Amino acid sequence: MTEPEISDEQLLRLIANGSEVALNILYKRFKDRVYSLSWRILFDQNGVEETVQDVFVKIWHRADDFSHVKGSVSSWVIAIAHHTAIDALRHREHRATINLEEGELETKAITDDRSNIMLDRADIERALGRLEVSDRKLIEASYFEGLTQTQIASRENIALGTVKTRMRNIFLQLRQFLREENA
Amino acid sequence: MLDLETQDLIALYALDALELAGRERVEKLLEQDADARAELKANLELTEMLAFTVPSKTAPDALESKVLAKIRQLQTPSQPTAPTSVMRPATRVVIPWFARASLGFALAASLAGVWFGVRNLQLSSDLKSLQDQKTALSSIVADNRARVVALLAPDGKTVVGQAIITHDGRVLMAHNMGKLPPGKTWQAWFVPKKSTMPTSIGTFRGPSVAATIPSEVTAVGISEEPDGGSEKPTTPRAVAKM
Repeated sequence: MTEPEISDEQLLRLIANGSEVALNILYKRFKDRVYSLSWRILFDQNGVEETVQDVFVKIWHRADDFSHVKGSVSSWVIAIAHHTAIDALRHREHRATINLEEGELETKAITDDRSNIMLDRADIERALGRLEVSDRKLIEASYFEGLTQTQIASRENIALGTVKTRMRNIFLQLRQFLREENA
Repeated sequence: MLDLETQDLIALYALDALELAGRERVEKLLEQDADARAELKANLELTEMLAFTVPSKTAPDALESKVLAKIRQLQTPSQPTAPTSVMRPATRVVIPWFARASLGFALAASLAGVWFGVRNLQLSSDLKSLQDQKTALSSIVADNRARVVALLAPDGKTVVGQAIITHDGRVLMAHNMGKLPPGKTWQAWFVPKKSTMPTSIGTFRGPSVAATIPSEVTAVGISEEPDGGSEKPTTPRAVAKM
Protein backbone atom coordinates (compact mmCIF):
# COMPACT_ATOMS: atom_id res chain seq x y z
CA MET A 1 0.00 0.00 0.00
CA THR A 2 1.38 3.39 -0.92
CA GLU A 3 1.03 6.06 1.70
CA PRO A 4 -0.40 9.27 0.31
CA GLU A 5 2.04 12.12 0.03
CA ILE A 6 1.68 15.02 2.39
CA SER A 7 0.31 17.98 0.49
CA ASP A 8 2.17 21.20 -0.15
CA GLU A 9 -0.42 23.06 1.90
CA GLN A 10 0.08 20.75 4.85
CA LEU A 11 3.80 21.33 4.58
CA LEU A 12 3.30 25.08 4.64
CA ARG A 13 1.21 24.77 7.80
CA LEU A 14 4.01 22.84 9.43
CA ILE A 15 6.57 25.35 8.20
CA ALA A 16 4.47 28.14 9.63
CA ASN A 17 4.80 26.37 12.94
CA GLY A 18 8.54 26.08 12.70
CA SER A 19 9.15 22.65 11.22
CA GLU A 20 12.49 22.53 9.47
CA VAL A 21 11.71 19.01 8.36
CA ALA A 22 8.69 20.29 6.47
CA LEU A 23 10.80 23.05 4.92
CA ASN A 24 13.30 20.44 3.85
CA ILE A 25 10.59 18.42 2.14
CA LEU A 26 9.25 21.49 0.39
CA TYR A 27 12.78 22.43 -0.62
CA LYS A 28 13.30 19.02 -2.21
CA ARG A 29 10.05 19.39 -4.13
CA PHE A 30 10.75 22.83 -5.52
CA LYS A 31 14.51 23.30 -5.48
CA ASP A 32 15.13 22.45 -9.12
CA ARG A 33 12.28 24.58 -10.41
CA VAL A 34 13.33 27.53 -8.26
CA TYR A 35 16.95 27.02 -9.27
CA SER A 36 16.12 26.70 -12.97
CA LEU A 37 13.94 29.80 -13.02
CA SER A 38 16.52 31.80 -11.09
CA TRP A 39 19.21 30.64 -13.48
CA ARG A 40 17.10 31.63 -16.49
CA ILE A 41 16.73 35.11 -15.07
CA LEU A 42 20.16 35.70 -13.57
CA PHE A 43 22.65 33.53 -15.48
CA ASP A 44 25.04 33.75 -12.57
CA GLN A 45 25.94 30.90 -10.24
CA ASN A 46 26.49 32.96 -7.12
CA GLY A 47 23.47 35.10 -7.72
CA VAL A 48 21.29 32.08 -8.32
CA GLU A 49 22.40 30.34 -5.15
CA GLU A 50 21.80 33.49 -3.13
CA THR A 51 18.38 33.81 -4.70
CA VAL A 52 17.41 30.22 -3.94
CA GLN A 53 18.42 30.73 -0.32
CA ASP A 54 16.42 33.95 -0.15
CA VAL A 55 13.40 32.25 -1.65
CA PHE A 56 13.28 29.58 1.02
CA VAL A 57 13.93 32.09 3.77
CA LYS A 58 10.92 34.02 2.49
CA ILE A 59 8.87 30.84 2.45
CA TRP A 60 9.96 30.17 6.03
CA HIS A 61 8.80 33.62 7.09
CA ARG A 62 5.69 33.88 4.97
CA ALA A 63 4.25 30.38 5.17
CA ASP A 64 1.57 31.79 7.43
CA ASP A 65 0.53 34.24 4.72
CA PHE A 66 -0.25 31.63 2.11
CA SER A 67 -3.87 31.31 1.16
CA HIS A 68 -5.16 28.78 -1.32
CA VAL A 69 -7.63 31.42 -2.41
CA LYS A 70 -4.78 33.23 -4.10
CA GLY A 71 -3.56 30.14 -5.94
CA SER A 72 -1.74 26.87 -5.49
CA VAL A 73 1.34 26.51 -3.35
CA SER A 74 3.23 25.83 -6.52
CA SER A 75 2.16 29.16 -8.06
CA TRP A 76 2.97 30.89 -4.81
CA VAL A 77 6.46 29.44 -4.57
CA ILE A 78 7.22 30.19 -8.19
CA ALA A 79 5.92 33.74 -7.78
CA ILE A 80 8.22 34.25 -4.80
CA ALA A 81 11.10 32.80 -6.78
CA HIS A 82 10.33 35.07 -9.70
CA HIS A 83 10.04 38.19 -7.60
CA THR A 84 13.24 37.38 -5.75
CA ALA A 85 15.23 36.69 -8.89
CA ILE A 86 13.88 39.78 -10.62
CA ASP A 87 14.72 41.88 -7.58
CA ALA A 88 18.26 40.51 -7.69
CA LEU A 89 18.44 41.24 -11.39
CA ARG A 90 17.21 44.78 -11.01
CA HIS A 91 19.57 45.31 -8.14
CA ARG A 92 22.43 44.16 -10.28
CA GLU A 93 21.22 46.26 -13.19
CA HIS A 94 22.25 43.52 -15.48
CA ARG A 95 20.40 42.55 -18.55
CA ALA A 96 21.10 39.12 -19.87
CA THR A 97 20.50 38.33 -23.47
CA ILE A 98 17.58 36.04 -23.73
CA ASN A 99 17.82 33.24 -26.17
CA LEU A 100 14.35 32.07 -26.88
CA GLU A 101 15.67 28.88 -28.39
CA GLU A 102 17.84 27.93 -25.44
CA GLY A 103 17.46 24.47 -24.14
CA GLU A 104 15.75 21.51 -25.61
CA LEU A 105 12.14 20.77 -24.98
CA GLU A 106 11.44 18.10 -22.48
CA THR A 107 8.47 15.99 -23.31
CA LYS A 108 7.98 14.48 -19.91
CA ALA A 109 4.81 15.46 -18.16
CA ILE A 110 5.06 18.08 -15.50
CA THR A 111 2.51 17.24 -12.92
CA ASP A 112 1.24 18.97 -9.91
CA ASP A 113 -1.42 16.70 -8.52
CA ARG A 114 -1.75 18.85 -5.45
CA SER A 115 -3.27 21.68 -7.43
CA ASN A 116 -4.97 19.44 -9.97
CA ILE A 117 -2.80 20.82 -12.73
CA MET A 118 -1.59 18.38 -15.30
CA LEU A 119 0.63 20.08 -17.77
CA ASP A 120 2.93 18.95 -20.47
CA ARG A 121 5.86 21.16 -21.15
CA ALA A 122 5.40 20.68 -24.86
CA ASP A 123 1.76 21.82 -24.55
CA ILE A 124 2.90 24.98 -22.86
CA GLU A 125 5.54 25.58 -25.48
CA ARG A 126 2.97 25.03 -28.21
CA ALA A 127 0.62 27.50 -26.56
CA LEU A 128 3.42 30.05 -26.29
CA GLY A 129 4.38 29.29 -29.87
CA ARG A 130 0.93 30.28 -31.02
CA LEU A 131 1.45 33.79 -29.77
CA GLU A 132 2.65 36.39 -32.19
CA VAL A 133 6.45 36.50 -32.02
CA SER A 134 6.32 40.09 -30.88
CA ASP A 135 3.87 39.19 -28.11
CA ARG A 136 5.98 36.29 -26.95
CA LYS A 137 9.01 38.52 -26.83
CA LEU A 138 7.02 41.06 -24.90
CA ILE A 139 5.89 38.68 -22.20
CA GLU A 140 9.29 37.05 -21.93
CA ALA A 141 11.00 40.42 -21.73
CA SER A 142 8.80 41.18 -18.81
CA TYR A 143 8.93 37.81 -17.07
CA PHE A 144 12.53 36.81 -17.61
CA GLU A 145 14.30 40.13 -18.04
CA GLY A 146 12.36 41.88 -15.34
CA LEU A 147 11.50 44.89 -17.45
CA THR A 148 8.76 47.08 -16.09
CA GLN A 149 5.92 48.27 -18.27
CA THR A 150 7.66 51.62 -18.68
CA GLN A 151 10.92 49.98 -19.70
CA ILE A 152 9.12 47.74 -22.18
CA ALA A 153 7.34 50.71 -23.70
CA SER A 154 10.61 52.51 -24.05
CA ARG A 155 12.51 49.58 -25.50
CA GLU A 156 9.78 48.59 -27.90
CA ASN A 157 9.01 52.17 -28.71
CA ILE A 158 5.32 51.77 -28.06
CA ALA A 159 2.89 53.65 -25.86
CA LEU A 160 2.55 52.62 -22.24
CA GLY A 161 -1.16 52.03 -22.72
CA THR A 162 -0.37 49.69 -25.56
CA VAL A 163 1.92 47.64 -23.35
CA LYS A 164 -0.85 47.26 -20.80
CA THR A 165 -3.45 46.26 -23.35
CA ARG A 166 -1.15 43.86 -25.12
CA MET A 167 -0.18 42.16 -21.87
CA ARG A 168 -3.80 41.63 -20.96
CA ASN A 169 -4.55 40.26 -24.40
CA ILE A 170 -1.53 37.97 -24.24
CA PHE A 171 -2.84 36.51 -21.00
CA LEU A 172 -6.29 36.02 -22.51
CA GLN A 173 -4.83 34.34 -25.56
CA LEU A 174 -2.60 32.09 -23.49
CA ARG A 175 -5.55 30.95 -21.42
CA GLN A 176 -7.45 30.13 -24.55
CA PHE A 177 -4.52 28.35 -26.20
CA LEU A 178 -3.83 26.29 -23.11
CA ARG A 179 -7.46 25.26 -22.87
CA GLU A 180 -7.26 24.12 -26.48
CA GLU A 181 -3.96 22.31 -26.01
CA ASN A 182 -5.35 20.49 -22.98
CA ALA A 183 -8.63 19.66 -24.66
CA MET B 1 -16.54 42.10 -13.15
CA LEU B 2 -13.23 43.87 -13.41
CA ASP B 3 -12.78 46.76 -15.76
CA LEU B 4 -10.15 46.52 -18.44
CA GLU B 5 -7.75 48.87 -16.73
CA THR B 6 -7.80 46.73 -13.62
CA GLN B 7 -7.25 43.60 -15.66
CA ASP B 8 -4.28 45.31 -17.29
CA LEU B 9 -2.81 46.16 -13.94
CA ILE B 10 -3.25 42.68 -12.54
CA ALA B 11 -1.63 41.12 -15.59
CA LEU B 12 1.37 43.37 -15.13
CA TYR B 13 1.41 42.70 -11.41
CA ALA B 14 1.59 38.95 -12.07
CA LEU B 15 4.59 39.60 -14.27
CA ASP B 16 6.15 41.85 -11.62
CA ALA B 17 6.22 44.56 -14.26
CA LEU B 18 4.62 47.36 -12.26
CA GLU B 19 6.46 50.17 -10.60
CA LEU B 20 5.91 50.76 -6.90
CA ALA B 21 2.80 52.91 -7.19
CA GLY B 22 1.10 50.37 -9.44
CA ARG B 23 2.00 47.51 -7.18
CA GLU B 24 0.58 49.27 -4.16
CA ARG B 25 -2.60 50.03 -6.02
CA VAL B 26 -3.05 46.40 -7.00
CA GLU B 27 -2.26 45.12 -3.53
CA LYS B 28 -4.88 47.40 -2.04
CA LEU B 29 -7.36 46.18 -4.59
CA LEU B 30 -6.52 42.56 -3.86
CA GLU B 31 -7.37 43.05 -0.23
CA GLN B 32 -10.83 44.28 -1.10
CA ASP B 33 -11.92 42.56 -4.28
CA ALA B 34 -12.48 38.83 -4.70
CA ASP B 35 -12.66 39.18 -8.49
CA ALA B 36 -9.25 40.82 -8.47
CA ARG B 37 -7.87 37.95 -6.44
CA ALA B 38 -9.36 35.43 -8.83
CA GLU B 39 -7.88 37.29 -11.79
CA LEU B 40 -4.48 37.32 -10.16
CA LYS B 41 -4.73 33.64 -9.33
CA ALA B 42 -5.42 32.82 -12.97
CA ASN B 43 -2.59 35.05 -14.12
CA LEU B 44 -0.13 33.56 -11.66
CA GLU B 45 -0.95 30.14 -13.01
CA LEU B 46 -0.02 31.44 -16.44
CA THR B 47 3.23 32.97 -15.29
CA GLU B 48 4.00 29.70 -13.52
CA MET B 49 3.68 28.06 -16.90
CA LEU B 50 6.30 30.41 -18.25
CA ALA B 51 8.54 29.15 -15.48
CA PHE B 52 7.91 25.59 -16.68
CA THR B 53 9.45 26.41 -20.01
CA VAL B 54 12.90 27.28 -18.76
CA PRO B 55 15.68 24.76 -19.34
CA SER B 56 15.81 22.33 -16.43
CA LYS B 57 18.74 22.60 -14.09
CA THR B 58 19.50 20.65 -10.97
CA ALA B 59 20.24 22.58 -7.82
CA PRO B 60 23.65 21.68 -6.37
CA ASP B 61 23.46 19.32 -3.40
CA ALA B 62 25.45 21.72 -1.26
CA LEU B 63 22.76 24.35 -1.60
CA GLU B 64 20.46 22.41 0.71
CA SER B 65 22.73 22.85 3.70
CA LYS B 66 23.22 26.52 2.88
CA VAL B 67 19.47 27.06 2.92
CA LEU B 68 19.13 25.41 6.29
CA ALA B 69 22.08 27.32 7.69
CA LYS B 70 20.36 30.53 6.70
CA ILE B 71 17.14 29.40 8.33
CA ARG B 72 19.00 28.50 11.51
CA GLN B 73 20.63 31.92 11.60
CA LEU B 74 17.17 33.39 11.66
CA GLN B 75 16.12 31.29 14.61
CA THR B 76 18.16 33.14 17.18
CA PRO B 77 16.13 34.27 20.22
CA SER B 78 15.87 37.79 18.86
CA GLN B 79 14.08 36.60 15.75
CA PRO B 80 10.31 36.78 15.62
CA THR B 81 8.62 33.44 15.75
CA ALA B 82 5.24 32.20 14.72
CA PRO B 83 2.63 33.10 17.32
CA THR B 84 1.61 29.49 17.84
CA SER B 85 4.95 27.80 17.64
CA VAL B 86 4.20 24.14 17.81
CA MET B 87 7.39 22.52 16.69
CA ARG B 88 9.61 25.32 17.86
CA PRO B 89 9.17 24.87 21.60
CA ALA B 90 11.76 25.63 24.22
CA THR B 91 12.49 21.96 24.53
CA ARG B 92 13.30 21.61 20.89
CA VAL B 93 16.60 19.87 20.35
CA VAL B 94 19.04 20.76 17.62
CA ILE B 95 19.36 17.86 15.29
CA PRO B 96 22.05 17.83 12.63
CA TRP B 97 20.85 18.73 9.19
CA PHE B 98 21.93 15.45 7.67
CA ALA B 99 19.75 13.60 10.09
CA ARG B 100 16.82 15.90 9.48
CA ALA B 101 17.27 15.63 5.76
CA SER B 102 17.23 11.89 5.77
CA LEU B 103 14.22 11.94 8.02
CA GLY B 104 12.25 14.32 5.93
CA PHE B 105 10.45 11.91 3.74
CA ALA B 106 9.92 9.39 6.46
CA LEU B 107 8.32 12.03 8.61
CA ALA B 108 6.26 13.33 5.76
CA ALA B 109 4.98 9.90 4.99
CA SER B 110 4.12 9.42 8.61
CA LEU B 111 2.32 12.69 8.96
CA ALA B 112 0.36 12.07 5.83
CA GLY B 113 -0.23 8.41 6.06
CA VAL B 114 -0.46 7.37 9.65
CA TRP B 115 -3.47 8.00 11.74
CA PHE B 116 -2.89 8.87 15.34
CA GLY B 117 -6.10 7.44 16.58
CA VAL B 118 -4.50 4.27 17.79
CA ARG B 119 -6.11 3.11 20.95
CA ASN B 120 -5.31 0.60 23.66
CA LEU B 121 -1.65 0.77 22.76
CA GLN B 122 -2.27 -1.03 19.49
CA LEU B 123 -0.48 0.08 16.37
CA SER B 124 -2.64 0.97 13.44
CA SER B 125 -1.64 -0.71 10.21
CA ASP B 126 -4.50 0.68 8.22
CA LEU B 127 -4.50 4.00 6.53
CA LYS B 128 -7.59 6.00 7.24
CA SER B 129 -9.26 8.46 4.99
CA LEU B 130 -7.53 11.57 3.80
CA GLN B 131 -9.84 13.58 6.00
CA ASP B 132 -8.67 11.63 8.99
CA GLN B 133 -5.08 12.37 8.09
CA LYS B 134 -5.78 16.03 7.75
CA THR B 135 -7.51 15.98 11.09
CA ALA B 136 -4.55 14.23 12.63
CA LEU B 137 -2.14 16.69 11.12
CA SER B 138 -4.24 19.61 12.23
CA SER B 139 -4.28 18.11 15.66
CA ILE B 140 -0.50 18.19 15.87
CA VAL B 141 -0.29 21.69 14.51
CA ALA B 142 -2.91 22.87 16.93
CA ASP B 143 -1.10 21.37 19.88
CA ASN B 144 1.14 24.15 21.04
CA ARG B 145 2.63 21.91 23.69
CA ALA B 146 3.94 19.29 21.28
CA ARG B 147 7.58 18.45 21.77
CA VAL B 148 10.14 17.36 19.23
CA VAL B 149 12.94 15.28 20.68
CA ALA B 150 15.82 13.42 19.13
CA LEU B 151 15.94 9.66 18.94
CA LEU B 152 19.50 8.75 19.84
CA ALA B 153 21.43 5.59 19.04
CA PRO B 154 22.77 3.53 21.96
CA ASP B 155 26.00 5.56 21.85
CA GLY B 156 23.91 8.43 23.18
CA LYS B 157 25.22 10.82 20.54
CA THR B 158 24.15 9.75 17.09
CA VAL B 159 20.79 11.11 16.06
CA VAL B 160 18.84 8.43 14.26
CA GLY B 161 15.39 9.95 14.27
CA GLN B 162 12.85 12.25 15.80
CA ALA B 163 9.89 11.79 18.06
CA ILE B 164 7.01 14.23 18.17
CA ILE B 165 4.97 13.92 21.33
CA THR B 166 1.76 15.80 21.82
CA HIS B 167 0.65 16.96 25.23
CA ASP B 168 -2.14 14.39 25.35
CA GLY B 169 0.05 11.41 24.72
CA ARG B 170 0.20 10.84 21.01
CA VAL B 171 3.61 10.03 19.67
CA LEU B 172 5.09 9.90 16.21
CA MET B 173 8.53 8.38 15.85
CA ALA B 174 10.41 8.59 12.56
CA HIS B 175 13.84 7.09 12.06
CA ASN B 176 16.54 6.78 9.44
CA MET B 177 17.95 3.43 10.54
CA GLY B 178 17.50 1.88 7.15
CA LYS B 179 16.04 -1.49 6.28
CA LEU B 180 15.55 -4.37 8.62
CA PRO B 181 17.51 -7.59 8.25
CA PRO B 182 15.42 -10.62 7.21
CA GLY B 183 13.44 -12.08 10.06
CA LYS B 184 13.58 -8.88 12.08
CA THR B 185 11.08 -6.20 12.94
CA TRP B 186 11.14 -2.83 14.63
CA GLN B 187 9.38 -2.63 17.96
CA ALA B 188 8.33 0.63 19.60
CA TRP B 189 8.38 1.14 23.37
CA PHE B 190 7.65 3.66 26.02
CA VAL B 191 8.73 3.83 29.64
CA PRO B 192 5.90 5.00 31.89
CA LYS B 193 6.57 7.43 34.68
CA LYS B 194 7.34 5.71 37.99
CA SER B 195 8.62 2.64 36.18
CA THR B 196 11.85 1.51 34.60
CA MET B 197 10.25 -1.26 32.57
CA PRO B 198 9.67 -0.53 28.90
CA THR B 199 6.16 -1.24 27.68
CA SER B 200 5.66 -2.38 24.14
CA ILE B 201 3.66 -0.22 21.79
CA GLY B 202 3.88 -2.76 19.01
CA THR B 203 5.92 -3.80 16.01
CA PHE B 204 6.30 -2.04 12.67
CA ARG B 205 8.46 -2.24 9.59
CA GLY B 206 8.55 1.20 8.04
CA PRO B 207 10.49 4.37 8.80
CA SER B 208 7.87 5.63 11.20
CA VAL B 209 5.24 4.69 13.71
CA ALA B 210 2.46 6.53 15.47
CA ALA B 211 0.61 5.54 18.60
CA THR B 212 -1.17 6.71 21.67
CA ILE B 213 0.80 6.42 24.87
CA PRO B 214 0.22 7.52 28.46
CA SER B 215 0.48 11.24 28.84
CA GLU B 216 3.40 10.90 31.22
CA VAL B 217 6.32 8.83 30.03
CA THR B 218 10.03 9.13 30.71
CA ALA B 219 11.23 7.76 27.39
CA VAL B 220 10.18 6.33 24.07
CA GLY B 221 12.31 4.14 21.89
CA ILE B 222 12.73 1.63 19.11
CA SER B 223 14.41 -1.74 19.24
CA GLU B 224 15.20 -4.39 16.66
CA GLU B 225 13.50 -7.66 17.45
CA PRO B 226 12.78 -11.03 15.89
CA ASP B 227 9.61 -11.16 13.83
CA GLY B 228 6.60 -11.05 16.10
CA GLY B 229 8.30 -8.84 18.63
CA SER B 230 9.63 -9.45 22.13
CA GLU B 231 8.43 -8.99 25.65
CA LYS B 232 11.43 -6.83 26.46
CA PRO B 233 13.71 -4.90 24.15
CA THR B 234 16.63 -7.17 23.21
CA THR B 235 18.46 -4.93 20.78
CA PRO B 236 17.76 -1.26 21.55
CA ARG B 237 18.41 0.93 18.55
CA ALA B 238 17.00 4.34 19.44
CA VAL B 239 15.76 6.14 22.52
CA ALA B 240 14.37 9.59 23.23
CA LYS B 241 14.33 10.65 26.86
CA MET B 242 11.82 13.22 28.01
